[in-house]
Amino acid sequence: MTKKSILQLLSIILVISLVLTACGGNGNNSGKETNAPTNAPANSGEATDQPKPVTISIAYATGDPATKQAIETTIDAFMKANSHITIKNISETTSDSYLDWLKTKDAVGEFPDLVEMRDTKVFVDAGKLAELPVELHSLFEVLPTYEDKYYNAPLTGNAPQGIIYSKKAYADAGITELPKTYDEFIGIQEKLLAGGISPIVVGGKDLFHMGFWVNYFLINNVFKDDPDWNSKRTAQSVSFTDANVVQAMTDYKELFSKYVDKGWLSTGDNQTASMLVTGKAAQLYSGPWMLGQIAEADPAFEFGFYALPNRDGSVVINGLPALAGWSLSAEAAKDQDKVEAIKSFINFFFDPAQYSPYLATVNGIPTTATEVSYETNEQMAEVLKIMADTSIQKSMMINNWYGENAIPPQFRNWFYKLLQELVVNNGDVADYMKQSDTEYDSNVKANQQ
Amino acid sequence: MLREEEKVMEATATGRKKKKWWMNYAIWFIFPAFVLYSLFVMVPTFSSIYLSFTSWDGISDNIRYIGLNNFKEIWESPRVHNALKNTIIVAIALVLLENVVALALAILVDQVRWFRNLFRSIFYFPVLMSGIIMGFIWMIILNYNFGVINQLLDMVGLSALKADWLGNPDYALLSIILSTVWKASGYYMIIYLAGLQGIPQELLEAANIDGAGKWKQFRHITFPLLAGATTVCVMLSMINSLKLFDQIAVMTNGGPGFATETLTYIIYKVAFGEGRQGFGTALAIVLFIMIMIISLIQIRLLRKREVQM
Amino acid sequence: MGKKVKKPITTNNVITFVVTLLIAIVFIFPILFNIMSAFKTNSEILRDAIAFPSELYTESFKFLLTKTEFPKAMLNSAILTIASIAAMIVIIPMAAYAIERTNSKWTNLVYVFFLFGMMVPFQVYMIPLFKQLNMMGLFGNLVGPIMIYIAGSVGFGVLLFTSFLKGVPREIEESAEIDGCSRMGIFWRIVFPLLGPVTASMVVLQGLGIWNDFLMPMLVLPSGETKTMIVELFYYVGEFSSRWDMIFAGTTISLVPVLIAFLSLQKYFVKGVSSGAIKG
Repeated sequence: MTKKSILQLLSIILVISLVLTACGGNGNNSGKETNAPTNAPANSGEATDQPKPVTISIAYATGDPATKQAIETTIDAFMKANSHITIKNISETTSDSYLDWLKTKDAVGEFPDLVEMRDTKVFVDAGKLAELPVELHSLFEVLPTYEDKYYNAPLTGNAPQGIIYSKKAYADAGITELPKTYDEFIGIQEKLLAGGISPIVVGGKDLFHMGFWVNYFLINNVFKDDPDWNSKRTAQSVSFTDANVVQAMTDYKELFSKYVDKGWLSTGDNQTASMLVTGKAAQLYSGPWMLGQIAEADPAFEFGFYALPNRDGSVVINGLPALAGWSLSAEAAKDQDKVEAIKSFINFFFDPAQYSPYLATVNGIPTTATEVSYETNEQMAEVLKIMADTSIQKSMMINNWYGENAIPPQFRNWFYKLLQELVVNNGDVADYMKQSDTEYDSNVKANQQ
Repeated sequence: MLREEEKVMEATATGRKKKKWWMNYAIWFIFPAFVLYSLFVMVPTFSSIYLSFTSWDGISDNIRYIGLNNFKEIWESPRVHNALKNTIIVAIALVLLENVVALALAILVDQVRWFRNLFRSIFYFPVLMSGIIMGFIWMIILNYNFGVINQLLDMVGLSALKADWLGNPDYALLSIILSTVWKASGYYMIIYLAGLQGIPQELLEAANIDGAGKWKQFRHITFPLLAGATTVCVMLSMINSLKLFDQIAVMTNGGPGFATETLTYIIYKVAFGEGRQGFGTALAIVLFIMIMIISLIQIRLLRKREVQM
Repeated sequence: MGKKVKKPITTNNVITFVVTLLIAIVFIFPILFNIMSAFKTNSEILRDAIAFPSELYTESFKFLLTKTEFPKAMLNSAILTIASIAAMIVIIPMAAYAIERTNSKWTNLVYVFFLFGMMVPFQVYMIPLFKQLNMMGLFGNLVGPIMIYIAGSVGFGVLLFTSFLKGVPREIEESAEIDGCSRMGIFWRIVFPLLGPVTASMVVLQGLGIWNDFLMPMLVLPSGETKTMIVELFYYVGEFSSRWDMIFAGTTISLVPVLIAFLSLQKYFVKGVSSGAIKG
């Protein structure tokens, strides 16, 4: 069997070298000639006469079909424009197990050179990531930092969640105006309920979906006034049993007990679109990535999007950039050729010519310093409007805060599950919050070991 | 070959040399299996025992020894206790139900007059499916809004009985148990069938003549004679039930809340999935010890019963 | 087959039949539902789960078979399964034979050593195993999983075979021994053929397990190229998560080989499972 593997290895090497030499010779020249000015920024133009062939491996979470497609398109376009660079795409996993998959890749020495990072802290602490090359910093409007260093080139801005609603359902229930406060919103729920439709569908089976609503309440009651709440909780100077948190969770419990579709605990995030378009539910609280899914489920379905205000009428959304994006692996950083290739790719990716269609496909928020706009539909336009509105405060979900404000990674899933039990068991909010304190502290302690 | 022939002659001549000759071949016969097994099962297992005493997160090169802290945490964590409770409930329920259903099906198939083989195949077929696939199918059947069960209830006017079979904590564990019984019983049915077919007809006929009814026949003749089959089925179903994973991962994700979390679930999803490899390995070892102890107890009890029979 | 006396049909016969039929319907329903739904469009499924398809919609199948890696993945699964089983048949009965016939202290020790492995859950040694595979250069091709499957079957396989071997008398072997047959010859030409049912049993059980295995191939086989069928199906569920029609088509396709193997090997399935287990 070893003989076979050696043979395999030899033949693969042979093939690769043949392909590379073929590309390196003719392909490159013709590529440069036919390169219209619209395609590609400075980097490929400045390539030396005989650019050395470089191969870099890339990986990203392929859970969302739109994103997967869009990134693949960009990679193909880049390779066409830079034929000396081969990008080996090794992505293959859903977002659920992305961390798992990266860990396995690393365990066998296949950690990608250019990787979409979502758990930056974990990998930086393990020494697997290199800092983002300085030349790329200027591309972005805001760059998240970890321990005062930049590790991520954010693919898209953190997309805000909002209420996606069926226009027909609203019309049928006699709702003519969008709510300006949370109490008005509850009023709308009552009307919908009276009309016989499930007001809200929640994909409770998927924990990340739970996060949308939970964080709406947390952001509007806690983080809005105190963005450093997490660090204080770690230091034990605040508690889950404080009035603001209890208020948040009480509101959450009430909303879920009364206005959420009865099957929420076994509904997956991927069913929520179907629930909306088949008229089984009127509203869905989620983000812009759903817009494409809903349109695909039923192109004739009419729906709208708005940010959910809180009691005093102000709007706070989770729009701050998270510690995520393209990162450079520490291994790849040791190879100067690879670094150049990666810089080249990043520049290409965020160039408006590429970035604009990318954002259009994934319905994403631009993170670049240069203005990028794209053709979009009514709902997405609303999202962009919200993000551009400077009077709207931006905040973050509990588990996305970083630095001093990072929470123990294992806490989030446990907390969301606890909150599910809170509703199901009709539990006492204060009591559950006390349990949260205990669990949080023990998680912190466990991580310090 | 020549050397071996010499040895045969020597062996038959001298009793003592015979033993040594046997051992020689045994080594070579066992060698391949031994090497593969040791290399790919035991060696990594021992490596991981060390891991259970560390706080390794699965990625960093830095592995910190923390002594018994993982085990202490397991001892104290309410979530682990809950998972343990669920694991045991599921195991006992599955062993009971699977065996009762399997035996019942075996009796039916044994007694049914027409299409025997077809029925046997139908009952056995679910065993052949992957747990993942079975999980998907049942998840859709049990879906609250679009699923078959609820739709059927609507159709017969029993809408009041509609429930969120996988999302309601009162029903979630039950749904998993029942669907697993559906999947697994066929296998044990085959074993019980073979056992049934090994029971001499004369015994039953004699009892019949003596005036014993069907139930008495079953209790005093059939069931005791199935002791061997029962031992095997109970042992296997116990081990498999303790290791149940695929269905839970697909159908409920351990939810709602923590209602269907079992040890295997938290080992994979929580510990490994949340960057606590050392802790996860410790959990896996606890599970392993549990399986071993339960199996040993079972062997003793069941073998004793077999002997009595 | 015995006496072919035509016994009159009793009420018992009818009742038993009806009961069995009802239970059989319940049992086969999920599979029928699966197959039926594979021929519906997604909106049809959502609208009415139980209805028959209005027309045979085969787009899902076509898509899966032509535009995806599904067929290739099935081929990989087949290679894995067949190669692993072939190797198992060669080395496991041999080891069991040696252990059972040589009833010495050290072979009994080896026996217990092997049994140990049956109880260790895969998750316990998963990660160190992968690192090991990589060190040995076996990560990323089909050889790695094959080794793992064989190693993982040793415990159960040896148990099966040793139990069965207890019932095989030694006299046959002894006469061949006197005739000058080598140990290898005795085993392969005389004993092994007698092990038919048990071998079939192991082939069926392990083969199924390998074909349906999910966790290990997902983590061990590398990006893009080699993937097994179940893993491929899982990814499609992730990708087409709201497309139940795709999921059903995928599961239906994956059941076809199992169905074919089952129908053709039915005799062995049943005989193997029962005889192997009972004698033990």
